[in-house]
Amino acid sequence: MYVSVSRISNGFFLCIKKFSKVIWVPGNHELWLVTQEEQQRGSPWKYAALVALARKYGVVTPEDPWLTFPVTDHLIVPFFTLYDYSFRPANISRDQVVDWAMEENCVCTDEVAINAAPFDSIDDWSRQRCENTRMRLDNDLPTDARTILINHFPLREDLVQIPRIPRFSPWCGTKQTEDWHLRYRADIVVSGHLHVRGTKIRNHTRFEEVSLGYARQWDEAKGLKHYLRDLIF
Amino acid sequence: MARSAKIQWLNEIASLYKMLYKMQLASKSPILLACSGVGDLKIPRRKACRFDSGPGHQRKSIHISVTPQLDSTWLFTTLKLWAISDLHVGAEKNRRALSALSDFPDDWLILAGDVCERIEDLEWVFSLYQEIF
Repeated sequence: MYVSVSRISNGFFLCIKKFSKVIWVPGNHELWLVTQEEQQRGSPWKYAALVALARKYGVVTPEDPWLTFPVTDHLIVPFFTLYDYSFRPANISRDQVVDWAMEENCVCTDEVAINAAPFDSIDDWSRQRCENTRMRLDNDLPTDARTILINHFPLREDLVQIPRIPRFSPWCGTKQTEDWHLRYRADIVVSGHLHVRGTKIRNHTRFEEVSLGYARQWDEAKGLKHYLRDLIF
Repeated sequence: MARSAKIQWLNEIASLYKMLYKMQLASKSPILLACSGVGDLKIPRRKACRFDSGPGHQRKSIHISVTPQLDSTWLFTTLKLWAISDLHVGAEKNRRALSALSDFPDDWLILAGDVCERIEDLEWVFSLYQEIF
């Protein structure tokens, strides 16, 4: 059903997939603990299980070697840095931030659906992800490589413009990634999470928010293709 | 035609196409490629890369892939890089739309998170790309 197979004249079967290469990064929803087993083992365990699943299908994850996109020679760098509640006003402390969001009913379901154990908190998990990702990029990224960075969460606080739910920002990213587009020579940065599709430029880097969103947030009559962002055109 | 000869022929066509594509970019006018068995093929004019400015922004190479079609013609395409996130395929409407999406057999896709909550749903999405030999 999902693989179209066409017969060519010399008798070979030619198998065509929907796409020739797929690169995936996790969002927060993938980390939600749905089954009893998941709830016992925690979200970091679930992430590892999802990476194993992706590899079974040949899907590229943040844990795999980077690919070069042959048309432009960009290095495609998927990563996963989560959030650490640092996208918040200066006068609100980390301890106050959930209550502050609760005042406007903006608390993210992650608070009950994600368990960062064995890490003490999502903040800690995020810190470890940032540290490891930065180390890998600093050590392994060729000095002349231009990149396309991919992360579910926006890299910069000034990209989080969500006027209807402004107090949702603590669950949207980490200030640790603020200058990564410069540091790692990105021409394009791809993210989602906000359900606010758009293109923004910061320091000559193009930031693409490519969300489809919940069922009510897009028009089925246009078809899914309308919502696929053509990054190189 | 033997398989190896066919592949060689395809490579030649691809390099010819590549050359014409570059000429077209230089001449700023569309070029018609007439080739027996292929039919008149109008080379699509592509917009320049939408990079803002700065170094490293120009297109460095053109990747052409050639795909045999059922009606014995050949489809020439350039490789594309697509991106989407927050598919939320737990919702029936979103799942239906992904099932209905046409094939992009040469292109690359970035899935930037929030595909779903359940492992089974993620496996269903990944299985869209499974290679079968």
